[in-house]
Amino acid sequence: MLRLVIRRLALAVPLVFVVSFITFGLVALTPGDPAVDLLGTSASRAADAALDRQLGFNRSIWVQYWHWLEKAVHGNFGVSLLNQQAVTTQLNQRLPVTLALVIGATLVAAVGGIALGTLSATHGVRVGRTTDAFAMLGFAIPTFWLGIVLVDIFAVKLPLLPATGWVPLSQSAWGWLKSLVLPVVTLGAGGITAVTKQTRDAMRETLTREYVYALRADGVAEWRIVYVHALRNAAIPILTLLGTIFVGLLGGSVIVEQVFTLPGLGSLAVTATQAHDLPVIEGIAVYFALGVVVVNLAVDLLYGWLNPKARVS
Amino acid sequence: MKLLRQLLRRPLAAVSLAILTAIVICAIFAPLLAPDPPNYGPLVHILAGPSWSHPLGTDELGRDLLSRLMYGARPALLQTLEVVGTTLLLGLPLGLVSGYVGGRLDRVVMRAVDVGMAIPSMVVILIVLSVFPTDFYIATIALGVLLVPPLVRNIRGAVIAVRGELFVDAARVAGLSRGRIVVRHILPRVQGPVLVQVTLLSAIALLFTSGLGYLGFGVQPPNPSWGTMVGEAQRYINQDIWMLVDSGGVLAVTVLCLGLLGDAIRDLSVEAWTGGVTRPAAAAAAARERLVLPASEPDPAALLSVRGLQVSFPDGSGEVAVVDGVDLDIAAGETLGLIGESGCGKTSVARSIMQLLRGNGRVSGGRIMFDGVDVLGLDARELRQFRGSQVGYISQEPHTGLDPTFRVGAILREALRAHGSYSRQEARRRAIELLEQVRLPDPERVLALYPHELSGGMAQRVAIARALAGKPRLLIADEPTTALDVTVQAEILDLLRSLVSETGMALLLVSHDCWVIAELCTRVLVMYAGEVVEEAPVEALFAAPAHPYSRRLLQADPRAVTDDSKPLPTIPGAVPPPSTWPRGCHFKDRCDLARDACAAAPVVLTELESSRRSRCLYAHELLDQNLLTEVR
Amino acid sequence: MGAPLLSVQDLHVRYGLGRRGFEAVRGVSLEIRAGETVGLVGESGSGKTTLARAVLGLVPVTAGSISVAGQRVADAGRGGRKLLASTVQAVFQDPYSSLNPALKIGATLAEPYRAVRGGTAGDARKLAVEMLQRVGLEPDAVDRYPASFSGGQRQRIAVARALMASPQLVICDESVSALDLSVQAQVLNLLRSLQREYELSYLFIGHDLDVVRYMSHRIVVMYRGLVLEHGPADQVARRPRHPYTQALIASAPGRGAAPSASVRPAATAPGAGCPFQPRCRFAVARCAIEAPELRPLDTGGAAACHQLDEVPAPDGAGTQQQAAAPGASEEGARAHRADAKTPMRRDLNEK
Repeated sequence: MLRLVIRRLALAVPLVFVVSFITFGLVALTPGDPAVDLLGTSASRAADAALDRQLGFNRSIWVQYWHWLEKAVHGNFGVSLLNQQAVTTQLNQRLPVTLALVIGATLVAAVGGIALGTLSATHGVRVGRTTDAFAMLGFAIPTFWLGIVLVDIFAVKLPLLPATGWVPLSQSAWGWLKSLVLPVVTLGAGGITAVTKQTRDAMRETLTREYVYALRADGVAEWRIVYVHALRNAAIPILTLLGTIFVGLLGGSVIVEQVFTLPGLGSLAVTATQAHDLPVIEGIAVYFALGVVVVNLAVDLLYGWLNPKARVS
Repeated sequence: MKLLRQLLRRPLAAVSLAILTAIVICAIFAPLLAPDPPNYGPLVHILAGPSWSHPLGTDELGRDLLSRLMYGARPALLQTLEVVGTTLLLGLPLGLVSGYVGGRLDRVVMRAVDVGMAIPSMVVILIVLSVFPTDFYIATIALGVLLVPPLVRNIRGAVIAVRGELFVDAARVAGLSRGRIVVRHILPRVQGPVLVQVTLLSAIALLFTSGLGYLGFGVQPPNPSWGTMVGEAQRYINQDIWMLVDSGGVLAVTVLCLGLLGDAIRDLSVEAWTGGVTRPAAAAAAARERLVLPASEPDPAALLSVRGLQVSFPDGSGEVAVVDGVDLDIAAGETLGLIGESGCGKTSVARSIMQLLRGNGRVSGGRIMFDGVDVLGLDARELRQFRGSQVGYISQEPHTGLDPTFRVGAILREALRAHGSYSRQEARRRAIELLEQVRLPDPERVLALYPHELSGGMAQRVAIARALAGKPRLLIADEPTTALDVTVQAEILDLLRSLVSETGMALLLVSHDCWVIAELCTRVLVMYAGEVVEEAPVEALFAAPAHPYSRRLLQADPRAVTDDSKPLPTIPGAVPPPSTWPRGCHFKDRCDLARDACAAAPVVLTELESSRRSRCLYAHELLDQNLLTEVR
Repeated sequence: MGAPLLSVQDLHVRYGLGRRGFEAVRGVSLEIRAGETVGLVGESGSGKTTLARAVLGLVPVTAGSISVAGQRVADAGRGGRKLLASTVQAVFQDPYSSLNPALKIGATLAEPYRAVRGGTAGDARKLAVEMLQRVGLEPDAVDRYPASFSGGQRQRIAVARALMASPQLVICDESVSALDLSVQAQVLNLLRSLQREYELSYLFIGHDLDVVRYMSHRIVVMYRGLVLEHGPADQVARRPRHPYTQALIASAPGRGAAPSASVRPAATAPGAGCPFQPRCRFAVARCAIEAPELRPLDTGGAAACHQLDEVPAPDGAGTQQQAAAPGASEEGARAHRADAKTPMRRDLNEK
């Protein structure tokens, strides 16, 4: 078990490196001078040069990256070029929003997908086709479009839920939930398809195994056979998929935060991109990468718990 | 090519392909096909719904939506091609090589894939866009690169699956070079998954790039792209719903078609590689007319009494019977053997007693009475109680009958709990008792083991213990030793023998090995092509078989050979598949005693002497012949 | 007599790396001469299949040598592979996965012929039709797919394929183990008649001693990577000297004798001594420490056992003289007695 954790953490290091280096490298390739962007065209060249020196933009890219890395390791991601706030403060403020959104969406995809997939696998062909069609729709409908439609129906036409905006949990639990419903459903809908398909395939295959018949021969209740035995065996590929979906949903959250105007990391990423705010983008990239690492670690641990063979090797 | 033709035969796939082709044509020939130029907006009919002049309506500047969508297909197509092209160019060779070569290269590639799959793509693409805001193609190429890891993983998996197949080994032995093996055996198998991935990647690329368009990247207004049109539609949603419906609809439909196409290709590839491999081969044919003979009454004195059992499975066009009128009686404490080769239906008989038929098999006729209870008439709850407490079942492969994620203790507890409530300590105590009953040394240690940590013999003992948990009165053992080494087999048979004498339970032993049956059983039923052809006490069967098939079967055993220099006596021909069973005797086409009467009508199982029956019209002749050879 | 067709010297084959590795073949030597069949008997884990795969060049050899027609296989480059393929072919166990389901029979059969003999497609097809007929199938089989054939028929196709390269040695790796008894008899008869017609040698691998005896001139018995006994087929199968071979025969169902081997799972990696020691009723302290060498016997074979002199020589039935063990049921004993009376079991009484 410990080896597993160490191995997964060992994977984390190159990942964060790669992500941060890509980010850094790409932004550093930006044509033009960031100082000019910041100070405007009317500033003097001396002022530009001074700011460059202050912000370290006159050094070589490797040196710049090294400095960034040194500070990052201590949790200091620098300061936003736009508003001079500490990057970590800004990101930490917005983190709960994105976390709630993405984790909620993953749960929706997981629960919805597993339920639909199991239903499809244990009932006849007709039910299977219906759930298939339903899941396929979830895949085909673009997330942003779905968000718009849902807002129109549930926030405008029937004013049940807020169209945009975010209510922090500390302010009102009910309000927080209401502001989450539409975004989470929108984002999760896309993931349901893949989970449904995977669950359906895995369950179908597992239910043909001989031990299922052996359990029936012993008189074990059917619900136990499906939900305790079969699902546990089928869970392994499903879990792996959920890990991948989480990564995809991270990307999707950027779009969903735009549609619903949520103050999360994604929407910050868009504005930071447009403004070439390097430290902020760097920070977000690293946060996302760390999130992926944590989720993959959790998947691996669950994997080991579910599949005894994986533990031994 | 062949795949195309097969696809077109499926309605959903054909329609999807047609729609996709239409969209591609619209994209390429938009200037010729579109009614209006894309930016032509005379501000006349703004935000209008569908009409004759504008089939899909107009937008806020009076521009024709249909035309704009058609022109919007161009960036959609182009961007998708850029993404998918990049991914294929980089990922396909990498996946192929990594999968085929294996070794260190493969390990390195997989590590890189692991890291690559964890990179949050959206953020990276946004960064690329901020660096190169005017060159969208760089973003699409970057997206293509980011999609390489999942493709590599997928292709590599497919290659590894084929590489492990026995026919690849056979090709190597045949002297084919590596290159030829890849081309002839590996690539065709990989073709299906690659195409499926292409459709999937295209769908992802389209959704991703249109998402970027929605965010304002890529094609800039006034030029149309599907993503930006959704963004525009959002602003006018209250005045004109059609803008939203059209733009979202076209995206959804395109992705839907790609998904359906991918599914169809996947189904076809799977079919091509498992097509028709059912053992034994069951050709699809119309169900022939059956002459139903009246079944006799079940024997009330017997523990298990089966009459006229018919088991059917669906085939291409209806149902076919694989067991055709089997009668069977087992008394309490008796050991009955069921011998036959593959395709005779013996496993179906065994499994149908507890309604455990695999797949879509069902009992299509006959009666099964157990201790006065009509088994086929039980409802679900009663059946569940019946199973395990009256009748137990163990199957052929020792490990497959045990849930690999459960420890032995938990497996036994599950079986115990099905027939009584036990506290944790009681259950553990009882489980240890069961393990001792099947003579497993060190039962406490075994309780904590997982099935994959058990040897074949141990696993089969655990399976027997599991079956005994409910204290059944009859144990059905379906080829319990076939998958075991002969030394282990002997131990298991010995165990079954003692269990029968200790518990007084009856045993129905199914096997293709006459000697296994001889070891344990007092009475034997010989099955051929869905019927019982002979019933006799064990020694009588071995000494003087009363059916030509039984005789030939016993003679074909190398153990029976007296003169090693002569060829083995064989039965000409092969076992007929269920759909081709003749109306008369099923064995007549392979029998040296066959005469006209054998084909005329179904042959009935007739009693020869007490407890001996045969389904041969000339059984007495056969018995006389046996006597002659014995005397000689 | 000439050089042997196949010569295996002190072969070692190891799977996996380092500590987690596992040695499947631990020093096996055997020889096959032209026109003879050597039977290789063993249970699961004996290493017999690994040996076959090593001879075929499918797995790398860790130590020792394999020579085919005088040429060392391990040194084979591209040309060596061709030589190997032209001399040694195989019929594998599983008739359902040894033929590519997407290729027609004709295409599959053409492969070895064209790869080794370099003929044209036309020649290959002609030869394929001939071969198919020779193994008892219709000529139209050449245009059909494997899915339309039964297990026994597919094995015949596999035999036909093996012969397309005109080999001198065919390795039958459990070729009949997956077949029904009546079908098995057909395939065994076919293999024997082909041997006479084409002057083939066979390495016939199986787990059923009677089937192997029927097919072989000599038998080699393997257990956990080592050869424990070898000799003329009739001797080894009917009057074996090694306790393991005797246990194999005694365990065969229908003999009515109680199993002579113990229950111990024996799943642990083999140690220094005799691999059969944990289950052997004749084992003494020495057996756990020192691995026995193969000692020649006066019957023309050899056995690797320290206690050879203590192990009673068997009678003609191949089982040891022993009273019916307690626990053997009436039925078993009856069957055993019945054995002695039935006409088919006359061989037991004759000897």
